[in-house]
Amino acid sequence: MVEITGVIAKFYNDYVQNTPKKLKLVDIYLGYILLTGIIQFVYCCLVGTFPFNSFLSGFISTVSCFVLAVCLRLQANPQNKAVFAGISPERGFADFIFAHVILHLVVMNFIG
Amino acid sequence: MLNLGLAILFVLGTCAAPTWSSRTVDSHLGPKDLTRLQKVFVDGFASSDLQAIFFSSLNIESTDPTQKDALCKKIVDLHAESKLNSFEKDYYLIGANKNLRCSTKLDESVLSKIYSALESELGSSQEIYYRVNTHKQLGVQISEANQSKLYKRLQELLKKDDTLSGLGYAFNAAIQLGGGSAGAFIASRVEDAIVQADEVDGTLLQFEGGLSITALIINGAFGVTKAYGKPAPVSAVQAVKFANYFLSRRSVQTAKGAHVLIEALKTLSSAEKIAPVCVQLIGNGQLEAKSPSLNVAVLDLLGKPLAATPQNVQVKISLKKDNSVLAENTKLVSKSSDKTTYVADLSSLKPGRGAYLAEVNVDGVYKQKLQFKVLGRVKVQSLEVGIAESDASAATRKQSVVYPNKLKETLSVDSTQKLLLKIVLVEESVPNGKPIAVQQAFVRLYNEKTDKETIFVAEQDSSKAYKFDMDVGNNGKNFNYQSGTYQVYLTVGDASLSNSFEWLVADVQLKFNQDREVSPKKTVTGPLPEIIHQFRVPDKRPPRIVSDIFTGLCITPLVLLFVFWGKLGINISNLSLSLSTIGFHVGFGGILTLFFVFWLQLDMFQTLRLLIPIAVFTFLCGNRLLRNLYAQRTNAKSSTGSASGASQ
Repeated sequence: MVEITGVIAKFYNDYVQNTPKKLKLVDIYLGYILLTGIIQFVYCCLVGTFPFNSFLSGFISTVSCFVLAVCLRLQANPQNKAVFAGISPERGFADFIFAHVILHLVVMNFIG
Repeated sequence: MLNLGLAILFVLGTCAAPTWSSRTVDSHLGPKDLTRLQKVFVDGFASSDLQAIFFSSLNIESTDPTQKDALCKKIVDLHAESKLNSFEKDYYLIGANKNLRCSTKLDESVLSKIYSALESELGSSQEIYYRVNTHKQLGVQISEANQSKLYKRLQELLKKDDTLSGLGYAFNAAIQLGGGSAGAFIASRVEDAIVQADEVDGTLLQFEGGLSITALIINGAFGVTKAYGKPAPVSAVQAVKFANYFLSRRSVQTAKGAHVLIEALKTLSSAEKIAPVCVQLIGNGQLEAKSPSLNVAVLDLLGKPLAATPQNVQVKISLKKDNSVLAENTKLVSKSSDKTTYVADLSSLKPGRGAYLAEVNVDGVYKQKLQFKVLGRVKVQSLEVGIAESDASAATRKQSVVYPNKLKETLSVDSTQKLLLKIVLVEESVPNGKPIAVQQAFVRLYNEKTDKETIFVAEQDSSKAYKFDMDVGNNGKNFNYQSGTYQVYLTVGDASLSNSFEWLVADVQLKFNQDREVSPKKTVTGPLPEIIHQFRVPDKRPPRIVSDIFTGLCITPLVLLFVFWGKLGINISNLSLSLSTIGFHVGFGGILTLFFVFWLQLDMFQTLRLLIPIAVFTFLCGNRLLRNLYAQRTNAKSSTGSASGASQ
């Protein structure tokens, strides 16, 4: 038990010290999206999915935002520079914004 | 071993089969057929077909002089407009003109054309046949030189064209040319034609092309072989099969067909040694057991008595069921009034009810198998009608009824009882005989008032008596629960009985446990109810408060987001107030606002129309903004601060 708390504490400290601020921002955003998605899921379990299209579009919206944010984080991470050689963080951000515009057009269309 | 035995039996059987119906056919051209053919010819005169008129004039004489004159005119007109080959229509014209004995003279130009035709080279054996025949009709002798020329031409043609019709016309042309050694080659071709006959079902022989070709070849082949003193072109077995074919075509409707059919049958029946004859039963083949007399007709194919009167007609009779021989060599005696009828009185044999096989043997040459039936008479030995309790709680009450009387009293049966019938049928001619089985034994209950009937099958029990047993309670459905007076009929029928009958046995009052008035179904006419489309009923929504709570819950993480971002310390000092920065943020906000409005009231097309300019503007601004940021980063290597983060 002590070991686990030790590991967690070490992990947390390491995260706080070594992660760039930009990525922390994205991580908080990810946490926000995750929380929203969980609340939606709890609602669906408690009350039901009716009206289904609205529920689905909301849930898809959170899941997709999460996925897109993860993609952005991957591309913006300096450790992954070798993998995404030709893609600067700015380019990644532009893609992120573009994908969001398309995604929410669809979500709004589907929400009814 | 067994297989070998069976094979030998089979071979013997197939060999024996022709011996037991040899040189006989089972029908002939009867008076009915002749009348119909006569009518075909009469109709032929009325038609506007040169060929039909010719063949009609060949077979019947026109007695009415006005009709004759009209016909004589008609044939000339028809000849002029006929689309037939010239040699064929010339022949029909000359022939009809001669047969009708027309007084009008034929056109000289037509005649001269006919005379000169023989001088030219003729194209087919058909043409030769028609040309020669036309000359014969005109009574013009064909010169020796021309004759030998025609034979030569025929020989040439047959080398090139040995089709069936080519051969058939060549045979007939040779007959018309009157024989002579120059034509002997044609007789040798007869066999070539005959072998081409097709057999159908093992019973018919015909040539491809139907009745006219078959008749043409048969008439020609018999004529040629006779002219050159050769044996008959077909065997006796083949002759029977050809005769069967011609007889099967007796319903022919054209004058030409009728003519060639009669000619061919005449040819076949005049052929000595092989001519088939018809041996058939007279009547429907059902003999009364009381006076069984077997009547057999022996005639030729055209229904005439045989040229050589048969001296010795015998019959062997066997029971069909088990092949037991009833009589052998029973003589059939010629009836004095009719030369074709032969009679045998079988009463001395006392044939029982059943189907029999008669093998008729005429002079040991013509043999035929015939089937006939001896009908018996059925007698009702006893009939009991009774009423029993369904639960057998009381004794059965039975009463006898004697055929053909009806029970005096009306029986009354209710739903707890059964109606019983027991019938014993015997053969009338056999005293103290055993009960017999019949093909049909039915009990019919008929309600006179409602005109409804219900029929039951009476079953035979182990003592061969017929029994009928109806539980009234269980059978209500069959009667539609209609209580009332029913007449009980007994129906007995069999193909080998001459006195099948239906007998009203008794009246019976049936009472079913539930009376149901059956009202006739009403047919509803008029419009059917309108079909209204129904949407799916929406599910129950949660109470308003629950939805609102969750909406609030969904917003709370947003607050958390800003709280944490605040804690982390967002650096917005980097946010320059250049045009591109403001443009990008305003543009992106605009897009999100547009989506919100889209959700509330716009449709997709309107949205896209508005989205495009905003998106282009935002893209341009964003592009410039990010390029600046990139330039800043690469120049200053400053890693802190993020406009991108702030823009969220």
